Amino acid sequence: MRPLTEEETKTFFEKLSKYIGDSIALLLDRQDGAYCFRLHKERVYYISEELMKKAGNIAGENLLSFGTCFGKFTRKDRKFMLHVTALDYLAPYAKYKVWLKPSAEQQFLYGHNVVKSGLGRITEGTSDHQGVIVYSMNDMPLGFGLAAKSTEACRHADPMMVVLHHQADIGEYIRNENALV
Amino acid sequence: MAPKTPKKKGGKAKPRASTAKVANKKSNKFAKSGKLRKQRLKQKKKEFQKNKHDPKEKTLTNGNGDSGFDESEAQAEEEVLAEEDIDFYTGQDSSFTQRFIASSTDRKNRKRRLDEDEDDSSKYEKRSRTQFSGEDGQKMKMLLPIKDKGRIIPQMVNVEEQEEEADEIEAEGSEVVEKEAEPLPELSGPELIAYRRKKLSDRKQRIAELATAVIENPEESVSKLKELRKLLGEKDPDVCLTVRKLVMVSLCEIFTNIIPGYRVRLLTPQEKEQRMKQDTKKLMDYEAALLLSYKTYLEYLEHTITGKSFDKSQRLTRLGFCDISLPKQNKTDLAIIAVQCMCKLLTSQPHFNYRNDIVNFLVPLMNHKNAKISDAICQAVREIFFTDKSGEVILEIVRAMARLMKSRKFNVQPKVLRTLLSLKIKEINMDQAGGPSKRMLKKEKFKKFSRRERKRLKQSEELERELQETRATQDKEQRMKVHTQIVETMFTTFFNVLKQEEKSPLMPVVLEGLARFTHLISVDFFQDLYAVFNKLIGSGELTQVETLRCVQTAFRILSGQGAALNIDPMKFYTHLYSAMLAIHAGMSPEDAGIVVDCVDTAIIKRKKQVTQQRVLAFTKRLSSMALHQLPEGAAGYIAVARCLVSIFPYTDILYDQEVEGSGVYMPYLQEPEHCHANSAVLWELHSLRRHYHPHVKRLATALLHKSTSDKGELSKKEPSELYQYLKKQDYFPSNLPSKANKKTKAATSGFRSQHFEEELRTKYPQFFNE
Repeated sequence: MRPLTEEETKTFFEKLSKYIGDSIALLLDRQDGAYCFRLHKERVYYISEELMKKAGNIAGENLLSFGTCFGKFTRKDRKFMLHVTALDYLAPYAKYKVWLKPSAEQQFLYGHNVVKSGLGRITEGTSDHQGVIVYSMNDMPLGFGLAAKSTEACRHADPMMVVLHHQADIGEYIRNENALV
Repeated sequence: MAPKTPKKKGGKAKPRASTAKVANKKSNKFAKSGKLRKQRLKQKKKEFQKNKHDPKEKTLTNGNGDSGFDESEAQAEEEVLAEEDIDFYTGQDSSFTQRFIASSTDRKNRKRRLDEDEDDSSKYEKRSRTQFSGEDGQKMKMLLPIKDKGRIIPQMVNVEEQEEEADEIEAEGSEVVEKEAEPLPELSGPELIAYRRKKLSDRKQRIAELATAVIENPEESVSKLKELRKLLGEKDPDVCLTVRKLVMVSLCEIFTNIIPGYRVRLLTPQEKEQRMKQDTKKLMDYEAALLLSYKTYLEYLEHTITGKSFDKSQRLTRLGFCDISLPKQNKTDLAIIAVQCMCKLLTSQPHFNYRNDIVNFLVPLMNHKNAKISDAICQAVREIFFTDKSGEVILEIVRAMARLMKSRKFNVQPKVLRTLLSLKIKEINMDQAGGPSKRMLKKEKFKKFSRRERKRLKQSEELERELQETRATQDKEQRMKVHTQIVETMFTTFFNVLKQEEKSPLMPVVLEGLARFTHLISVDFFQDLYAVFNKLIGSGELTQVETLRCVQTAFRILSGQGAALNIDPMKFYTHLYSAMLAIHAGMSPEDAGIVVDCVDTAIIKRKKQVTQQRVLAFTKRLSSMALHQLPEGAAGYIAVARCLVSIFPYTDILYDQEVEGSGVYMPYLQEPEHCHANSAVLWELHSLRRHYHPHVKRLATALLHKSTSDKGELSKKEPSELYQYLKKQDYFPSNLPSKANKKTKAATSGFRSQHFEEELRTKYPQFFNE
């Protein structure tokens, strides 16, 4: 377990700010105590400093997990992959949101992209390739995605046009149980 | 004898006429070839010599000995010339004379001399008539003598009598001349005043007489109207100001009464030549005369308002109007009255001719630096907006306004734009392009239907058109079209103001206008409008009210046609949420009403599209900001919060002290989504429960117990209605003590908000008696 290097921090924060903008500060500087990010076995964990100190007592090879895993760095080119486990912490600070119609929820939770006909609502001013958080119509966070089209373009799109690329969804808790920590 | 004379005359006259003609021809020829002067000189020389030889003869032929001929010889040449010229001119017809004068402008010297000549001639004429004086020194005028019993009796008449009989206009002119010459300084102060008063009452009498005559029978008394109009040019320095004012106002009144209910069309020259019935002709003549008078009157008003001097070349000057030198204050007084007259004409007879000119003249003056003038026009414009049904005048005005804004680079007074807010347009044709596309193209028809079907279609179309004509829907359509144009022009103006680089003082008005007419804004604009709003709010230059107006407009658009857009305007929720924090009783108590309205459109109207976090955050903020409002604001806030609580069951969480989920409530965070409102508690209700205002107290108690079945009349009201209702009420119940005790006095000294203090002072003066 170690703090992130400067380069890693940069990649990681860039990825996070795609979804929550400047609210990263709110994640770290919380009123109920200071929180931090730690790297362990290529994975980034979000943890309160108090807990982190306690976890430090355990030897590295024995430590499986601590706090909440936000994602992992790929081995080859050190890119950061966001895991669905981070959703609970990102969803409250979401800058851009997409709401799905009930009919499109299942498709998304199976790992498919979202087409225009499934789009319930979208935040005004979303640009394309913007990181968005996906919600069901009754405001339950379902996962992350990348907007394929801007809000304006969505208005004029075909019903079968892809408007959102899938990245992670809560269906992974079942489908991909092994890979998640 | 009568048939004989012309023959005789003709016979005799012939050679004379021919000589005159010959002379004429000759002089013409010389004039053309530019040798006239030479010719003249030659003649002069001749006559001069003749004169020299026999001066007595000349005087004799001249008849009257008292002209300047027996003056020194040095002047003789000049005199001779004059004499000769007079002969010359009297020999020709006058139009030729004028042409001749006009053609000889090339030589200034010559021209001047001609003028002198003319002067001389007039003197000469006068002299010949008035030379005899009566026994008592009165000026007398010669008439033709009478032959009686073989002797000739000379006839004379008093000149002054004669003058009185002359027509009005001349009398007017001579009167003025007389008065100017009057020895005013000899009168004492009171006498002067009395004199002036008498003069004034005379004029008043005259105006009244003329006006009544015109009103009684306008068709017969065109000449009287003209006379009245001439009084506008009153020149007497004593009374001219008052008389001009009176005539202006009375003419305005007359015109509003006698203008016909249709637009007068002047006849073309061809039509004039046509024969028509006598009645028709009479009517036409009357209309033309009326129009002319009206036009002159309007021109006069224009001149008075602009304060321009009457130019020599203008029609008005020819009609006898001229400048009077007045102090500036009086000039503005005149201008204000003229503006009022013009406004009245426009509002009462908007259909009549020259409407366009009036509009184009008045609208730029809406920006006049004199508040009285601009206010009068703004008021008139507002009135027209209210009364004009067809909308054509409105369209003209709005267009003129747009032009004014453009020419002034949007640097106009806000009240100009504020008039637009009183427009009463309910609906417009949103898709004007829909009209032509509906109709099928000819080609398409040809393909789609058989011949017989086409024929039937054509017939049914015709039938439908006829039916529509009888239903008079044409009128409605036309009106819709005009209204659409008005709204288009108006929004273009608004958007242009919004697009200005720096913030203009017009911004609040524009935002208010947009908020007012949101239902007329097309959805297509909304993307750009949102971008502009975001930029404006983000720039931080807007005041709280302006921010709120932006938010209001944005949500109104979305609640209208924008509902189909499926867009979540998150930024505007943030703006609204953070703006609410800054609004409190001390600074701007009226803004609470806008907040109530905004929250209503933003959350309650969009209840299916707002997130849980947002609702919780807004409920919490409403209740905490209710502590900072005046009673009506507090009541409004609580009422909105109550609506939220009853609509969204998950707001129960706010009544629970145990924190569910993660995070601590962050009251100062700008984002409603991130502030963890789910861990907040509505503790403020306990404070509000003990509010001094009974209504607020009741509402707070009801909200605290979540009793939706409150019997009170107030709880049935919508939040914004409630706010408006309470705003009109007094702060305190009426059974207040009539005299303040020491405690209240201490409490009412030293207010932080001046506004609040002023309001209290006006409402409860008994507390502030020192």
